[in-house]
Amino acid sequence: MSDIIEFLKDEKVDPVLLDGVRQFRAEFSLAGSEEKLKGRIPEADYLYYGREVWEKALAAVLAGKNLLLCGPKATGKNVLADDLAACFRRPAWNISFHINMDASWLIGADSYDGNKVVFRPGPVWLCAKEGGFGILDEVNMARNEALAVLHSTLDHRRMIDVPGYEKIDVHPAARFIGTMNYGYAGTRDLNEALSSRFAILQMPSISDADLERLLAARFPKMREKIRTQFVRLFIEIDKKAQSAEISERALDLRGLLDALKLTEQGLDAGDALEMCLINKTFDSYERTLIRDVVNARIPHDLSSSEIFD
Amino acid sequence: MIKHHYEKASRRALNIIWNAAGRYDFDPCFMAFHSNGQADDYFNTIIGLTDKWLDLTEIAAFFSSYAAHPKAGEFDEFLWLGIEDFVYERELPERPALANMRKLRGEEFFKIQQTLSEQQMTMQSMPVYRQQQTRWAEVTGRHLPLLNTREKRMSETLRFSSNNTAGMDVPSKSADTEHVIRIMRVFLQEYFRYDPVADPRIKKELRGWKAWYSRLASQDYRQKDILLIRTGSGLGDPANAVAVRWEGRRAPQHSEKLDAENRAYIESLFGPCRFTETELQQAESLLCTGNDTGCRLWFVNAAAKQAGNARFGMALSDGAREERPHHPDPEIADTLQRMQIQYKNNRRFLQEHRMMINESIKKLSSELEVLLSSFSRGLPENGRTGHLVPEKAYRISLLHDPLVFVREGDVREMHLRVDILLDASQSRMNSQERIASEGYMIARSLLQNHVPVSVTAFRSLRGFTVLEELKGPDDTDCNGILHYYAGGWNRDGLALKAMHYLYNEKDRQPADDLRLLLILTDASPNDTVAGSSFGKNYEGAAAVEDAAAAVKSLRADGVRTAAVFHGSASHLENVYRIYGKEYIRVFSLQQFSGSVADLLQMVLRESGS
Repeated sequence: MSDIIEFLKDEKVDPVLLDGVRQFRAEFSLAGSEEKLKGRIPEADYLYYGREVWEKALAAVLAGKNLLLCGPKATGKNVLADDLAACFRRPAWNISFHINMDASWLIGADSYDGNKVVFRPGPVWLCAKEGGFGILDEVNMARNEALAVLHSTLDHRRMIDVPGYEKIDVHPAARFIGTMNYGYAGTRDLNEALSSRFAILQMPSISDADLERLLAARFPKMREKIRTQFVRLFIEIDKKAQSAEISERALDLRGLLDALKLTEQGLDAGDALEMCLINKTFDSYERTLIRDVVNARIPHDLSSSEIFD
Repeated sequence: MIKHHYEKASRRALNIIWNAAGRYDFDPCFMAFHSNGQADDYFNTIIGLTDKWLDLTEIAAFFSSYAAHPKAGEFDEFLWLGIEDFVYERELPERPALANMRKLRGEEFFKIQQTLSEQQMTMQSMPVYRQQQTRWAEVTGRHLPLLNTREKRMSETLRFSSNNTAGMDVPSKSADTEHVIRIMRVFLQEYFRYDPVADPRIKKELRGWKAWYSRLASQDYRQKDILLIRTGSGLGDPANAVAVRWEGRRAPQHSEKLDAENRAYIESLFGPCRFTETELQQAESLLCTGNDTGCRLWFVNAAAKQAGNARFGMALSDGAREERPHHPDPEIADTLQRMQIQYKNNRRFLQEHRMMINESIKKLSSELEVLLSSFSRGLPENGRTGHLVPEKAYRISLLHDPLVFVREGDVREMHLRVDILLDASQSRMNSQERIASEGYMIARSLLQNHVPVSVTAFRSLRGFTVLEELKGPDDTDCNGILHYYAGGWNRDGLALKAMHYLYNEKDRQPADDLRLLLILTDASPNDTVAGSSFGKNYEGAAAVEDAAAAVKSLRADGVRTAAVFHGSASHLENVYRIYGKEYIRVFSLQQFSGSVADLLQMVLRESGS
């Protein structure tokens, strides 16, 4: 994997911001006892495409702000969060939020080490202490009350105080990146107190051109004409979901990429799309609608040799 | 092959069309189905692409221009073959998969032909069949049929793409549309000696499909629209799916005699009005004013309807034979029989989905129980006993104020009454079983929580807006809801005003704390009777505003009004305009109970606050 900064240069991201990233890396490089955390730096298998979003995100992180990435499905929220950690070369803690999340899940809880009761730190505590990037995935799945413990961590105080234990200051390199989607079942609005502690970035849907580039980068041997058809297929499914004719289940960029991986292995496009895209929805009527869209773009028996050179 | 819009609506066909067109905000004038009722994916794609490459409104106007011709169906089939050729060539570079779809469609054509009986073959138009056969043989690489000179020339003319004399490198939508319309005219003139523009039967200019359709469906014709009920299931044969049928000739002007005829027609279909003549006149003089001047009302209660059914010998029990109701007017007898069949379809649907429906009722009942119990509990209040509020403790000694405690609110007696209003217009024809089941599910769930609930269907027909009670507030049996069927128009504003009127009746005025009116609607009001604010018809933005004003008036009188919406995305703005945010959109029966619970929670919470 080449350095992500090279990719950002190609994306024509403002060089001033890239200099800022380099300075950040130099200032907070993992050395000595921190070497063990290198395994936590994400590999950035998928790269986020979109110059404007990159520039906004880099500026927020360089300014010491926490970032909240909002947007519907398949807009690349998690990809960008991972890419940011990779870009700044900081270890990442991925924390998936759910309705039963509480303070002990995030900060830590009492535990017994065989002799005495000790504090077992949670991911937020570790991230804050080690200067990592905490990725708060689907942050609005948790109850707002449970998230109140994060307030002092996320605002200007930058500290965590656990009653009965020590108080720590948040490492200057630590950042928290929340992701959220209003549409999912079980999600709720984030309260004002929490949302005011983030710089909020609305993630746009991926554009045709960016999706073309993404596919070209992931599947360099794919024929250009076929690639365009897959891009349009995704845009058409997106349009159908936006028009509320189908749910967002089938609007799955990962699914599309997985389908192409399967065709690379020799499976026909129809079968691969059936497995990775159409069957993502469990409603048979909805599957029919999605199948109609697929059939109007990609013939069912399109073979691997027709897709790739 | 291609059926006119309103004969059969299918969500799938619409989706294919919208997808190909690249937009979801229009109602196509054509949809294509196979003879088994399934959507024809290739031809629906072609219809969608026609919108993309040509001006569909202009094309539809041309098709409409010869609608009165006896061979209109045949012309449609010829011309769509031509359009197919044109848009196929235009789209192919952008959508290579279209070639595969076209080939499959060709194979399907020959496969279907092999299964047709001799009778079915003889019913086909042979000239159309020969052209189709030629087209699909070319596409699939089969031997071409032997054609005579005229047929060969016809086949050449139907290659609209090769007849493109516009000769432009960059296609222009308007020039292409003009070109296609020109060839279509030439085709009809040359092979059928027919020019739609010069046809004396249609003294009109081609000023767009909408204008023409609006004239066709105008007030002058309203006296002759006939209530017909779909005979097939939701996915049945579109040939049997009939919406509103128009008499070919112009109806006589409004007269007392006609009014009496219409009234007799309405009474025969729906049973006697629950009001006396004087009461009905009072209601009409109050309600049929302003936008609804010239409209009539008809109120039917469940008991009268049952009596009416028995009067004509309508057998509605499960095991009963489907005997034709013995009404002297064959048209009414036919309609009554269709009602009878729809009742059985509704019952069958309920039976077939009973597991899911029972589960939904159980789920909705339990959610309602929690909702109603929390609604009936008051908010915590200050009191002399309870939990001490420390920051108020100083008030005891300083101000001698003993109210420094907070205690749980008392459970208050709450009366909730729910009325469900079902849109029963012809646009609901393909969802009749589902709507009946949804009404049934809500009513049963509310009854299980001891909430009185009534269910009423409304539709407008021959100038009468009919409110037909399917289940009275005191009925404990919900089976009456299965008498729901769709047909006619929907004048939402007047129906809502009529419900408002009923609320003010003496027998509906107990000391209810809360009255809730729930409307199952597609938020697309339209009627053939115009009003003062409308041009020819009650439709469009003015009709939406009229309905919104009726909802506003209901709410001002304390009636909580909310909607369960299942209609097309293009009507989402209407539903918001009429009901504000107090609506939910339902896509499937599975999500129905959860969505309704959310809606009721929203409404009750707002009432509580």
